[in-house]
Amino acid sequence: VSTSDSRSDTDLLLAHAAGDSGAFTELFHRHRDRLWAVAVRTTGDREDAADALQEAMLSAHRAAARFRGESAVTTWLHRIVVNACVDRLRRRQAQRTVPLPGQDGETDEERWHIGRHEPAAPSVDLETAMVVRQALAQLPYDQRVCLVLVDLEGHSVAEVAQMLEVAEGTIKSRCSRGRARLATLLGHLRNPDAPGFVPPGKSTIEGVL
Amino acid sequence: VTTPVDHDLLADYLGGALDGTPEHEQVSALISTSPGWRQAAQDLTLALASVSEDLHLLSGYPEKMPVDLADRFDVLLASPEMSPQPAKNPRDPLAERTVQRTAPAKRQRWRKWTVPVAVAVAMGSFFVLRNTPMVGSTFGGTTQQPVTAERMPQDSALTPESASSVPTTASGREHSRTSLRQFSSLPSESTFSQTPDYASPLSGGPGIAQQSELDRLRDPLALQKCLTFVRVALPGAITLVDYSSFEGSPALVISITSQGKGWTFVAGPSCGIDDADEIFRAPLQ
Repeated sequence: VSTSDSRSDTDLLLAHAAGDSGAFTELFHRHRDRLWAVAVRTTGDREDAADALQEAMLSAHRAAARFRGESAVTTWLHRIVVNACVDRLRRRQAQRTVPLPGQDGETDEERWHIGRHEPAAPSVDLETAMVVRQALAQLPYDQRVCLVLVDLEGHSVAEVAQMLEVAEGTIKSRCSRGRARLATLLGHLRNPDAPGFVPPGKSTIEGVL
Repeated sequence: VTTPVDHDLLADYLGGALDGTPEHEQVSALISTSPGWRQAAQDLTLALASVSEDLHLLSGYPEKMPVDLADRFDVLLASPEMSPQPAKNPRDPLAERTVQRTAPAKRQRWRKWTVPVAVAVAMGSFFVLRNTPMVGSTFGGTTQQPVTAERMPQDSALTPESASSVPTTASGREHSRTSLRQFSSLPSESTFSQTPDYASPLSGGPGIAQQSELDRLRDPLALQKCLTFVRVALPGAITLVDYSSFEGSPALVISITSQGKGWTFVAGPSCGIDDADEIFRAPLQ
């Protein structure tokens, strides 16, 4: 991976648009892992992430000449990657006819039980990260995309609203509901929609899901 | 009368999504007056703090691209498809094409090389298959290799497994440019096998001679090479391959989703030899 090029992201993109043969590759290498993280966390699937990232890079490659510098190059790239991921998730959702284990089609009740914390173990940080990642993958994709961009990638709500072309309030709502759902998936909160739910503090012997 | 807790609304409230709206005051009032809402708000507030810690932990966890995928992206980036092309009159990859049938003599000439090339590719693929973790079919098939006959798509992308994951059918239909333009959608891929049906003959339209012209493309490696060239010609996800007929000649009618839009791409029997043998393309209406 070449990272010795001192040009800025914008300069690299402009150089690529002007015909510099190595500029786009340098730009990709510079942000490869972060773009990959966005793709794999958004799709929740390695192969879908690879396909979406490839489509995104082809798209970015073609669209470079239209970049106007209205946002950071990384934001622009993230936008392209996320939209490629969302397109793929929408297609997959539309094409899916038979639910597969661990995928859409499970009941909410089944979903709520997935990915909850197990008792503490060695390498707890790594294990916790894996559990959180699995829980994230259980969210509806519109909520997941927002959490990936806002909470994991550090974009502002306004940036994400611009990326996804929806209102800021919508992003806030998706983030809020996604976090609340994660709270249940991760065992920080009982499923409020489960039958017989009793608020914490008033639980009975059956109070543990 | 107690108002049941609306957990989505409560999440919106605590997340700031209701700021500046009338609902904000309503939820605020409910939390002040209803024990159920108050308890739920307290519980969710505590839980969200833990979620925040969890997400923070995950954000710090390195998510590096796997080495095999990184290698494949390097191949993609080094391909002509990814070279800077500040063309004066760039060709729109999604623009409609006109019919350009490959001359029979040319097909015949290339047919001579089909078997040795396929054997060589199969041997290379076997080696790669044994030594390289598989990557998803779409990605594997779109490594965007050079598109000349001398520089065929890389063997690493050409495996029977990667070819077989594209749904195929042999409808035997006779298509025309008019019918394809009006085609709102091809048959659902879920109605077809995920693996090519190499055993059964084409049904319907094409006769024996036409079947034989498509026989080469019933080989998984040949089909995969063809689809690789098709993806170069029209980047996107291939959702269905139909062994059928176009304006009286045998052809593959291929459904592609590109940038969120559906396309039909028609490839001739020489697809994959030195290009996609493109005959026609049209967006789905």
